[in-house]
Amino acid sequence: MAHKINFSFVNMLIEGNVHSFINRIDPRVRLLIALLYAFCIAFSTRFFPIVLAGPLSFVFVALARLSLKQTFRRLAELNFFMIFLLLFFPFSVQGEALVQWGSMAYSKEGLEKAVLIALKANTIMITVSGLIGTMEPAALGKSMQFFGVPKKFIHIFLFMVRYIDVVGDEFRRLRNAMKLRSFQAKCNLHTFRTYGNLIGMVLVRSLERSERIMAAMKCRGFHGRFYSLTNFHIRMLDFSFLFVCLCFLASLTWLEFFSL
Amino acid sequence: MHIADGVLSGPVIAVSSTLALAGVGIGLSKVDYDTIPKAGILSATFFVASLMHINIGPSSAHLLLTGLLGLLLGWTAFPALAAALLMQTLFFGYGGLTTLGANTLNAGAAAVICHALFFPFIRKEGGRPATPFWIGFWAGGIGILLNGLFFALTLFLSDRDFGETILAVLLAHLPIIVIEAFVTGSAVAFLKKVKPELLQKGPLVS
Repeated sequence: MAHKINFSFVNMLIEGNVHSFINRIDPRVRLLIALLYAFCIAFSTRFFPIVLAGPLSFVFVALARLSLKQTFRRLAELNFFMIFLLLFFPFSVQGEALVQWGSMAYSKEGLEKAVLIALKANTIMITVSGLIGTMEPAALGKSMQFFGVPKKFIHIFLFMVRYIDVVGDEFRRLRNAMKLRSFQAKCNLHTFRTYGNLIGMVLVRSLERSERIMAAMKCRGFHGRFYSLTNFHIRMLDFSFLFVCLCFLASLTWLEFFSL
Repeated sequence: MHIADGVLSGPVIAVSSTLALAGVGIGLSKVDYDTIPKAGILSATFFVASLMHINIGPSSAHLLLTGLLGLLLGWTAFPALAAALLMQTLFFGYGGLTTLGANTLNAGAAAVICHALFFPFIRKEGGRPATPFWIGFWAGGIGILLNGLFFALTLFLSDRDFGETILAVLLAHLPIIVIEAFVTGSAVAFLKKVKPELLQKGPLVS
C-alpha cells in the first residue's frame, strides 16, 4: 500500500479494555510507576535485572488486557533503530572478535552492549504500553497536573488529543477526494507537490476550525480552566499496587548494585 | 529519528532535558489562553501529518515536518512538539519516556533555527511567485537535516562507539530530507497563495 494513515487512536482506547484491572488503578500511581520504572531500567548496566523485568512488563500488558499484537505493533518503530544498532555497533567496540571481516571485527562486547540496549528499550516500551497505553488522555492530563506540569502545556496536550481524530478525518476526506480524481501516490515530484498542498489545506482548515472553537468556548465563559467531573481517590488497591511495584523496583535496583 | 529508552547516557539525558524544559518554558510564555487551542490543533495537524508514509523503493518513511512547524510556530514549536512526542511515546511506541527531553530538544532546536533563518524572508510582501516554494524547500530540507544532526550529536555524546550506527541511520534517512524539502516547499507555496496572512504574522497572532 502506497499510503497508510492509521487513525486508530479512538479505536485503540476502546480495544484496550476499559474495565481492565489496570484501569481501576489511580492514573497518578500508574504514571509514577511508569516513570520510575523507565528510569530504573534505562540506567541499568547489567543483564540480570532486565531479564527479570522483561516478564513483568508482560504482566502489566496482561493486566491492561492489551493483545500481544497491539503491543508488538508499538515496538516496530523502536526496533528499526535497534536493527541498525545490532548490525553496526559491535564493529565500533573494541574486544574479542566474533566475526573478522578484513580489518573490521564484530566484537562480543559490542554485541552484548547492543543486545542490552535493545532489551532495555523493549522492556520499557512494553511496560509503558501496559501501564499508560489504555489510559484516557484526559486522566493523563489530570495526573500530569498533579505532578506539577504547567497548565498551559496540559491544555495544549488535551486540545491536541481532542482534535487528532477531527484533523485525521479532514485528512481522510481530502485523501478520498484525491483518490476520486485518480491520484496515485508514487515517489515522484507530482506526489510530493500534492502532499504539500494536502498538508497546507489541512493546516488552513484546522486553523479556521480553531478560531471557531475559541469563539464557541468564549461564548460559554472559558477563562483558561478545564473542569473535570471525575475526582481521583487513592484507595487501598492503589496503595497495594504501588507498594508491590516499588518493592519490585527496589529489588531490581539492589540486583543492579550487588548481584554478581 | 526518535531516540528510544536505554540508549542515552545519564549526563546527556540530564542536560538535554534541562535545555528542552527551558525551550518549552520560552514557548509557553509566548502563548496565552486565546491561542492555546490554535497551538493544540496545530500539534494535532503535525501529529497526523507525521503518520503519512511515503514509499521509497522497498521501504517507506514518514514525514516529520520539523521545518514547516518551525516556520509557522517559532518557539511555540517546543511545547507543540513535546505534546506530540509525549503522545507518540505513550500511545504509539515512538521514542521513549526518559528520552522525551532529548527528542523534544533535537526537533525543537531545529524548528527554532529554521524559524530564525527563514521567517524574515517569508513574511516579505511581493517577490516572484516561485519564491515561497524555494523558501519552504530550504526550510524543510534544513529543518530535517538539523534534526538529524542534533540526533547524531546526542547519540555521539552518549557513547563515542555509536559513530558508525549513527552514520548508517542518517544515510537511511537521506531520501526523506529531499522529500521533506519538496513537500514543505509546496505546502508553503500553497499557504502563501491561500492564506498569506498566516505566513506574515504567524498563526498564533489573532
